[in-house]
Amino acid sequence: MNASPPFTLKKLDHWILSVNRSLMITLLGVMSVIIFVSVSIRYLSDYSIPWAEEVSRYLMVWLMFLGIGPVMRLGGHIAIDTFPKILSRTSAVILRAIIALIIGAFFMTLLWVGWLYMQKTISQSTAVLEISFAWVSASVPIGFALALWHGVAIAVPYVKSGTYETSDDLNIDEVGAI
Amino acid sequence: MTITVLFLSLVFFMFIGVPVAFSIGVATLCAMLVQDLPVIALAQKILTGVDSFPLMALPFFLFAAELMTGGSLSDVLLRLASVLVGHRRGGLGYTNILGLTFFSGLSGSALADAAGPGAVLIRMMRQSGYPPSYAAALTATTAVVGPIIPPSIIMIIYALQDPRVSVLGLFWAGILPGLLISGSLMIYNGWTSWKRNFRADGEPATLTIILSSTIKALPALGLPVLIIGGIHSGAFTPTEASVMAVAYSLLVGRFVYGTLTMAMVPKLLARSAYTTASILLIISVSSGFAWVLNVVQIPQALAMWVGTLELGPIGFLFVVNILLLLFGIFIEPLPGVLILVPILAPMAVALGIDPTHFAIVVIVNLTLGMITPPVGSLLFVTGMVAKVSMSELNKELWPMLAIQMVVLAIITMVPAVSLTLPQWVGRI
Repeated sequence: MNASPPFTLKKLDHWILSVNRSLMITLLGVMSVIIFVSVSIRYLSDYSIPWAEEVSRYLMVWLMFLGIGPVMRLGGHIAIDTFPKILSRTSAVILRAIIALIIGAFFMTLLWVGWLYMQKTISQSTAVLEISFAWVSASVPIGFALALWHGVAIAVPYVKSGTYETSDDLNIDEVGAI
Repeated sequence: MTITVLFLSLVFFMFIGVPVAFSIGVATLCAMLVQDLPVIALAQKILTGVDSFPLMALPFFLFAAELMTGGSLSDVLLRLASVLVGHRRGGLGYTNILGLTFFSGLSGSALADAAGPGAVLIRMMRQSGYPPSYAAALTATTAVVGPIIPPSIIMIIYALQDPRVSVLGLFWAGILPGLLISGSLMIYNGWTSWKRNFRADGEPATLTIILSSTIKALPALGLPVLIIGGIHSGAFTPTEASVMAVAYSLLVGRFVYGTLTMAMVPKLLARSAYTTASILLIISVSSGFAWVLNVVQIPQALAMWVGTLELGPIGFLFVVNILLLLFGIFIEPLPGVLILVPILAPMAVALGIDPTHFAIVVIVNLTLGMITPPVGSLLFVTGMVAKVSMSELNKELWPMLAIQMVVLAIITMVPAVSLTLPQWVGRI
């Protein structure tokens, strides 16, 4: 247990994941509170919070983009596994490597166009708060950059054996069953 | 050309096992390159696709369902159901159906029904000597009413895809079809219990016990009244009602039933946030997909084409049902609604089918896809809880599935099942 480089990398990864997860929890909590307070105030007085709807919408956008990576770590993006299941072990490893590359290429593309999109929206401003829309659109490149990080973190065990990390934050069999 | 690339690449990526959300994203990207659309527009579309206030009902209803299970609102409902019907032969089967039907008035998803109170019921049935595979199959099939009886997350998402329907109209329209599903399962459970000689559980409850259980369940039963009543009277939008459901379940779980502690809240928030993110991503990339469809005018062209077929409304509904059932074997209701509704709904309207009736047919059909083997997400959940293999579960499942096909046929052929209630309250 020396402080060798891989250990440091592991620590960094652990830290990134826990910050990322805490941000997701906070965003959902704050969204709920904002809308609840805004509805309550509207009924108790004549006043309504003008920015409540806009801010909570943008928090939800951030929640989704920040969630791509952590959800992927737990295998929470639903997929159809009928075909992969019938493959032999070796073919399955090759197939998972191809899938990982496709997803990696998709993330990099979205990171790049997200970055362009963010720069394009710096001069635009939001309807109510009148802040730069880049505060919202930055969620695209940041979300996909984090997703790329998380993807690399789980790529090796995924390709080798098709396994993900486990946590009771998410039951992979339940996701998508809305 | 563009449309060929879009659909072929989508089918290919999903088939080889790329997660659905990324398959839709990559297919959209390919089609955009072929059509020579600026790729930067995809970043914009996936952001604006979820930048929606009505959509916010999704995370809030998911969070509310977590709080209800954590705060044992589901437990008091199960106890009430058990007191009412538990003493009959096959009583736990009835308790299962009635309890989940109660709970679907609180929750907006089949997942919440199957994983929360559904799991409790399966364990209860197994301990009382019911075949675990029967318990798992019955729970999965009953959980289908979760998104049919309001509130319903999939109905909220459907209403965002088709401007001709309203969330409130769909909520009212789902009640009778949902009760039809529960009722048909009640009859089947009665018949099976008689044939297999399932035992009865305990004595009929006395009036005092029935009264006290009802009073205990009242705070939980108040929630559907708050949600539907609040939206119906115009006091709340669906999103506001969903956040009120969060506050209500938090208060009732914490102060009335006392089983929810503040220390549990971050964990419940995390679970809701993860599920929210994974569902929103599919919605988000699907809006990019739908945008490409519209750029190449696909829904419009198909609606015109189907008009020339002279299928008639019934013939069209029949074809749609077959298509959706095939689709539903592999695809969850959510991507089903997102990919197919923008294409099918205009066709249905062109044939003079009521959009609300059509919505209920599509939603019931796609939700039944969650219990059609080999890939039914509800079957995975209940099979895992009951610790039975898929083949054992399927043996118990198929008669129930067959009955649900009859129910689906009734809902398809008789628009009044869906439309009577919303017309009666004047909401369509």
